[in-house]
Parts: sequence; structure tokens; C-alpha cells
Amino acid sequence: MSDGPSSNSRRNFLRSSLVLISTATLAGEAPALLGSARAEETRRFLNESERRFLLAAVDRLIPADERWPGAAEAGVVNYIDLQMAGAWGGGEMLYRHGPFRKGTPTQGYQLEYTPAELFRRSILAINAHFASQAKSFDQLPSEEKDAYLSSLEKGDIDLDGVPSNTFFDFLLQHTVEGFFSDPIYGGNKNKLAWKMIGFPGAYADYHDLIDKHGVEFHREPLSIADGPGYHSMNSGTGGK
Amino acid sequence: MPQTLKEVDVVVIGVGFAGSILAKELAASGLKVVGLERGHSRHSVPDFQAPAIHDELKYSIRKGMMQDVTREAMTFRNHYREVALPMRQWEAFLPGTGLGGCGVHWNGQSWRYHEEEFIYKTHIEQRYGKKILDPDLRIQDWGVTYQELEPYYDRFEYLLGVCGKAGNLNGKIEAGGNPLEAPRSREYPNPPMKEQYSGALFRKAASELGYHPFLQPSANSTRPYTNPEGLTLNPCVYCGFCERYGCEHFAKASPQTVILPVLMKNPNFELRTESQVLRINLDSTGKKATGVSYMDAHGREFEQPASLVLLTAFALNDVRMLLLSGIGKPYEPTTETGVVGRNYAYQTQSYVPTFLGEDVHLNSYMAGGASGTVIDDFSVDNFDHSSLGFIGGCYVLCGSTNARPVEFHPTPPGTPRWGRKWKDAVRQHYNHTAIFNLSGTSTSMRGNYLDLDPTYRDAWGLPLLRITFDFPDNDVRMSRFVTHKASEIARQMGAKIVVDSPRTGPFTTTSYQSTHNTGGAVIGADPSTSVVNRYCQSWDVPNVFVVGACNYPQNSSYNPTLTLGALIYWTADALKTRYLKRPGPLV
Amino acid sequence: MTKIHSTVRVKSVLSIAVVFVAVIMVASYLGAQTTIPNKSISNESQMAVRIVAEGTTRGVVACSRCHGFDGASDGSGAFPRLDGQSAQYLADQLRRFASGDRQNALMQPIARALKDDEINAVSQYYASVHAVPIPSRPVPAQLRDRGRQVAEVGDLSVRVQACESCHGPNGEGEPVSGVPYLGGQYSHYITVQIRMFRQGYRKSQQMIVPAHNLSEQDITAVAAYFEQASAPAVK
Repeated sequence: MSDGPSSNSRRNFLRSSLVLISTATLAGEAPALLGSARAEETRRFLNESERRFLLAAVDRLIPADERWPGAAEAGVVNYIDLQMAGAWGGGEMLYRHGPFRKGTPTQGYQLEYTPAELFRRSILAINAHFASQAKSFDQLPSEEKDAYLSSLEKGDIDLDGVPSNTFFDFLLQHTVEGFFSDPIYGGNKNKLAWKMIGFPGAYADYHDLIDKHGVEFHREPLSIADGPGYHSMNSGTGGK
Repeated sequence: MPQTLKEVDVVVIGVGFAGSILAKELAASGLKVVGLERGHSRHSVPDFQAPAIHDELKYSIRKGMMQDVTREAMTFRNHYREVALPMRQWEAFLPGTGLGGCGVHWNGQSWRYHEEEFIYKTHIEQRYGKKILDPDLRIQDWGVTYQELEPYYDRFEYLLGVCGKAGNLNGKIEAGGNPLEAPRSREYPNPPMKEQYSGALFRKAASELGYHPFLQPSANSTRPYTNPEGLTLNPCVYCGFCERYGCEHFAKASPQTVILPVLMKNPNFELRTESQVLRINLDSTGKKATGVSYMDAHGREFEQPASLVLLTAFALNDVRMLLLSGIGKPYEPTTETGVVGRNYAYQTQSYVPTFLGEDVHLNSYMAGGASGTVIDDFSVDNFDHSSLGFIGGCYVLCGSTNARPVEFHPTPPGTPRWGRKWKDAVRQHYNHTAIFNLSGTSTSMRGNYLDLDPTYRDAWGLPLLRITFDFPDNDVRMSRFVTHKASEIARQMGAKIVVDSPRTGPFTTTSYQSTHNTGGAVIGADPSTSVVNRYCQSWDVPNVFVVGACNYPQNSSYNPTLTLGALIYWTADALKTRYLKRPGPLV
Repeated sequence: MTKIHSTVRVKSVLSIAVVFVAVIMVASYLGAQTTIPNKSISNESQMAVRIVAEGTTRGVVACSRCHGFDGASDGSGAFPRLDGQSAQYLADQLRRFASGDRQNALMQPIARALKDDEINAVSQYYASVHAVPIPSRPVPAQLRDRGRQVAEVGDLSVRVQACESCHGPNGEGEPVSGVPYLGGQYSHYITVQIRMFRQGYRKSQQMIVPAHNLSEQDITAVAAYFEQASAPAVK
């Protein structure tokens, strides 16, 4: 398949250079690298008590471990904050005309709430519940946090009109998005989630590597923000 | 008061592949053509350039290139007993919008149908007898044959620069291709794509089990290629951001890369974007279109008179437009009267997640949109169904088109959906998991159809399209059988964990499967069971032609685009050599 | 074609500076290598230094004579910057010189005379060295901006995509898969190489169409832009 140099020596060479690169990339993802969490909080939508709940919740959904930070360190709550404050939270790409009726499971989401409304309403109900408890959600030990999240997931609780499993699925989906999407959206801080799984990111030319079967490929992931020419669609044509 | 514009020869509704090609052919013949596109203009530069285009959240998750559902959605129910409710967010399928249509963000999987599929009813009844068909199934012949369409398949393949290896050249079986394919008159314009590691492992296992693996034919170019229109494609770099995205390298065949620049140069053609067509207008007889009414971005309504109207707005939108315009009798499932909306079908997708060892580095993010190694042994009617009790089948594809992490983070069954164990499993399996993709036939059924919703409306006040659909039990049985066979291949690959995941009912709108919505404006020889004749001409209004996957009487195992391309050029030919010489019914 | 390979211009002042810098470069290169606990690489690095400094008995001219010990060569742009270049790419190009896939009368006999492990060694050497940055020539802002536009966004009128979609942010390259850096590379060298792709003296499926479609002005512009884009870093 190769069109010139001997493929065997190329492959060997590739491997040795890969060892060098992988050593450099994987060295110590110390949480200190992520900087001070407090200083970089976004404040566009979430209030203090919402943020406190979400930080504790996402920390259980994708927890930190000995090697890799989790959703809380990755800035997932910032991601949620920015999404809820923006067009998506406000109902972009959501058909919002009535009548609103309960549908079958195959008919999908049928509530009146935009994502932002759904989050706010649900967390308000959750916080109201914990106001009558001895400890707030974030003060609970981990196992009890998990138990509460599981009960939300089951759907037995009504969160002021939002079935708790609908809220839970929304929360989980946004947590995964915030963890794995490009850091330009506020999460996946320092591309740590991409480093964890080995996803190289937004610069992607694999023409020469795709048929090098079995080769371990390690590269410092690149975000859209690493490119200086970041521009949005239709910028050249004015949208017409 | 709508403003009436100067009359033109042709109005094209929707400027995707079908609209672009038909417009180009007719403009080149000397006709004045107006193309009305509801979405925005967009081009490879700057709109599809990297790194900005490689934004998974924007394009995959938030559906950046798709129809704006806040303004125009569709309603859905599984059965006509139920009340249809709006699909408030796109999930199961993703109708596109914008110049170039789905051709911008498709995968590029390029399949021809089999010969017998164009005479499917005749063929199945002959081979197995009517008894093999469940009572509610409604398969039909097309009224046009593979042999008639073969030169037009060829023409479309050379326009796109499809990459593959012929398996059947004029009846002679060739090594390296699909030995089961319908005969083709010449080789593909470009060689096949590079094989991925997962595909190579699949190839070995499938061969060992006696199947016939080959590289999937692809419209992601494998080398610099200049098509017959004089436009040049670059080779694909396997970036892993193909489907749902535009291509930055001019490598994916899209209207922008293979035809639009030529069309736009022709002064006979005028493109109007942000133009929402409201209806096709008919004269007092109801048998002749006088043109279309549309609304521009400022909310001003126009009447565009034309002698010929080409409806090429994507399958679902085409059917809705016919219903809104009163062209053809709407179908009703309990009495089985009417034709518009009849024989709606989909794609019966299933998967086999295949977890390999941690020493197997698949690098699945290195991928073209049509990458993959595939077997055709279980597609359509390629195997004997005599004792099986169902019709239809799937191709079995192994390879990846992406490993974008929000969409792709497979975990084995039994893994919790969240928490420490989930995170560990994601990290453990991300680069070592292949997912077989089985694309299955979708058999038309009496109760699956399209019509207008009685309750919900779009931003222009018009009724939404209502989709009534569930998988026929025939297709569920088919999926169980073929998926099980595919799982055997996965086990042969030495996988640690194999997840046999056939498609089961009911059809749900809540998870993505495929945007291969077919039928509703079916092609045929008999006007009592079809909407258009064999030249895609409306039986009811002869100066209206409808070209889209809405023409398909049932859906094949294969992706619909190449067959649509054949129909497009076939129709273009009929227009130029027959209709324009003598306008009127061609059949 | 013969023009660029006429004579090796050795400016005496510059050559002294290069040798001085080279001594430092070699020392730091060897020093850096010893932090990697791998015996075979240190043997390889010694072999590399010998070839770079002296050539081989089988007819390999010392690399440093044209490319310098630091890979920056003489600054004229007749020879490319090699410092910090992808080792994968350098090795690939040497093999292409040897096979004739990349046509170059000067490099072919040298590349042919190199053994396989020697190719790997000298490629690793230049991949690992840093050059003292040579100040680039002043570029008119208009030319640089045009170059940036093509480099970052492309040009629809000639169907050319953004150079950086393959060559990376600021043209930093992709070392593992062997996409060369352009950022910091001599503009004259870039200009000539694009012409080589256009005329088929260099073969690349990815470069054929852009090389063919770009106008002379735009080639000059992107080359000028990349020369002053951020200098390559050893990865």
C-alpha cells in the first residue's frame, strides 16, 4: 500500500517517535494544572444554590479518580451555566407550540419547558426538598448523594411538574456534553477528557495513519481555540 | 397582497442534489430556471473550514445543519389509533436545510440497488409465493427497471467520483468487489478507500465464515478527481467529522463540490435562498400548475409563475408539499384509498457493539464518512428466505465513521450509566470497540403513511406533516435473524464481549437511527397505487415532477442516495428528450 | 530547477556563527538525550552527530555543510529549516529522495548512500534541535494578511481549503503523522516547494490541487505569512 519508503521501517520509526510523544503528553495530569476552580466560575445563569447543587451532582455523575479529574474539575457546571444562558437554554431547536399533551415514550419530550426552565424548576424543587432536611445535597456523604441521584433517575419524584427522570436524563446528557465537548464551550478544561480517552480533537488529518493498523497514536489534543482563525459558519457570505 | 413575479420556464423547489442537477440540465438546455431554497447559502470556504467545522456540540448535538424545528416540525405516532404529537426535537432522523441540502452533511455511502428490487413484488411472489408476506405488507414494483436506470447510475457515480471496486462488470465477477452486486457497465471512477483496522479484522473473520467482504463504495474521494463537469475533488483525509458536517477539503461529493459552481455560472439560472415555498399553485382545473407561492426572509409573499415545477425538497417535504397543494388524492389507511402519503418506509437499523482487547488500538476517530468493510450476503433477497418466514435483509458494515466522544463512548452491558464504574469503562473501551452497523430493508405496510396533521402548524400557519409509522413485524423478525448472524462474525473476530442488538419495536423518535425516510410519493405503473409515473411525473398534474426518496415504494437495505441520483438523471433525460418536446402526460 | 541548486553560498561571517551555535546545539542535544534512559537512542544520536558533522565514507556529504548543525542552514531559503521538523516527515522525505519519488539532483545521491538506520538517526537529530531564530524579512502587511486569510480560511474562488486544516494551527505541523510545519519555514523555500508540487517534481495527493490552483501572488502571500508565523517548537 505504501508509495515510496519501506513500510516496515516507517512503522518502526513511527512507534519509537510515538513513545517519546506519549511520555510527554501523559506526564502527570495533576489537578493543579487545571487552575483555581473558584476564580474561573461563569455566572450567566445559575444562582449560588443551583451551582452548589450542580457541582455536587456532576461530581458524582463523573467523579474524579486518582489519575483523572471528573466533571466538577473539568468545568461542566460552567458549561451548563453558559448553555442555559444561551440560545439552547432559551429553546433553540425546540418546537414550542401547543397543545401540550402527555405522549407515549416513543413520542419523546412533550413538556412546555425550555431547557433553562426545566433546570431551574427542577433544581428549585430539589433544593426546596433539602431545605427541610438536616443536610443539603452537597453536604451528604457520597453514597447518600448517589442514592438520591438514583431515585431521581428512577422517576418516582415529581419536581414541580417535571418528572425526575426527565430532569435526570437532561442533567446526565449535559454533563457528558460538558465533559467531552470542545473546551470553547466551558467544559473539558485543558482537554482533560480528550486526554483521558485519547481523542485528538479538532485538527484531524489521518490520511497517512489510518491504514497503520494497531499503531498507538498519542497526540496532545487540539481544541478549536488552538487555531487562530476561529470563525463561525456563514461569516463570509453574511448568511444569505 | 402577494406580488406576482415575471414568469420563468422552471421553478425548482429545494436546491440539494436533485434540485441542483435538474436545474443545471435544464438551464444548460436554454430554459430560464429559478431555484428556491428555504435555507441559507453556504460554501466550502469559509463555511466548512476546519478547525471551526470540527465542532461536535454545534453540528452533531445541536444539529447545526438541520431544519429549524422551532419553525417547522413534524408530528408522529406509531399507529393511526393514536394521537400524533410534535417531534419537538430532532433525534431519530435529521432533515437538513440550506443550499446543497443533505448532500452537504451526508456520509457518502454509495450503493446501487439490486435488479430484482425494481420488480420487488413480482420477484418475491415468484420466488416464495404470496404466503411469505404478512397480510398488511404492501410491496410494489417501480415501473422502471434496473437495466433502464443503469446508465444513469453510471452518470451519477462519475459526477460524484464514487470510490470502489467493481464486483460485477457486465456479468463478469471481479475480485476485490462485491460479487453479489447488480451488473455495472464500467469500473468505478476512483479506487476504494483505505481499510480501517476494525474493517481488516472484520474482513478476516467474515471470510473465514464463508462470506464475501469488500470495501464500501464511497463518495469521499480517494484521490484528486476531476468530474465530467470539470470540477475537482481532493482526497479525503479521514478526519472523522463527515456526517452532520460539511467537508473542508473539497473531498466529499456535495452539490457545492460537484455541480453548483457550474450551475451558478449559467445566466439562465437564478438562485433565491431564504425562500419558503408555501404551495404549488394550480389553475381552476386542478390539473395544471401555474407556479408556486413563497415567502422570503422579510415575510413578503410572492407568486412565481412557471410552466414546469420540479419538487426536490427532500422526501418528507415533497409529500407535504403535494398535500398542501392539493395534488393527488391523500391516502387513508383504513379504506386504503388515495395515494399521496402511501407506502411510507424507513430503515431498519441494528448494531453489534464488539468489545476487543485493550491491546487492539482501533483509532476509530480516523474515518471517512463512508469508511468500512462490508458484506452483502444478507442484504435484501441475497439469501434464501424459503424457510425463514420473513422477507428482506441487511448489509453488515464494520468500520467507523467517527469516534466523536459526546456521541461515541461505548460501555459493555451491565455498566452503570454514570459514576466511577462508567468512567472507568469509557476509558477502558473507547479505543478498542467496534460497532457493526446493520442497515436493513423497511417493508411498506398499510398502516405506515404520511398526511397532514389536524392540530399542529408551522410558523407560516400551515399544517405540519404527520408521520404514522412502526416497524412491521416482518422487519423485526428479519433484524433478529441477520443481527444474530452478524454477532457470529464478531465472535469470530475474537471479541471479548459481543452485544447482539437487533431492532425491536416500537419505533421511537428518541434515538438516532437514520435519515432514510422513503415513500409517500411512490413511483409506479399504476396510478391507483402510485403518485408519479415512471418518469417521476405527477399522474394528476403533468407539469409537476417529484424527484426524491419519496418515490421509493419500499426501502432497500442500501442507502438511498445513489439510486436517487439515477432517478434524477433519468428524469432529466425524460424532461429534455420527451417532455419539453411535447409537454403533457408522458405515460 | 537547476537554479536553486547552483552553488552553496557560504558567507564567512555567518559560517563562523553557525559553527559556534552548532557546538552549543550539539552539546545541548547530547545533553537532552541523556535524560532518556534508552541505550539504543544514545548510540543512534552519536551516529547522527557523526553524519551531520562529517558525512559517511560511502559518499554522504555532511548534512551541516548545507543545513547547518542547528538545521537553520544559511538563511537564504535555498535549503529548508530542518530544526524541530517532524522526524517522521524528514525520514519520509529522505526515502523519497532516494527512490526518486521526490526529484532532487543534490539530495538523491546523499539519500541513496544513507542506510536505513542512518536515515532514522539524522531525522531524529534534526527533529530534536532548536535553531536560534533568524529574523524574517519584513513583509508588507497586506501580503501577510492575504497569506493569513488563505492559511486560516482558504479561497473559494480557486477551491483551496485552509492550509492550517492539515498543517495545524500557525502551521505548526503534525509530527506523528508526518505533516511538516510551515510556521517559521523560509518563505522562499515554501514558494519553491509549492511550485515543485504543481509541476510534479514532488508528489503528494493532498498538495496537487492546492498547488495547482493557488495564484503566484497567493503562493507568495502564504509563504510570507508562514515564515513569520510562530517558530517551530521541538515537541
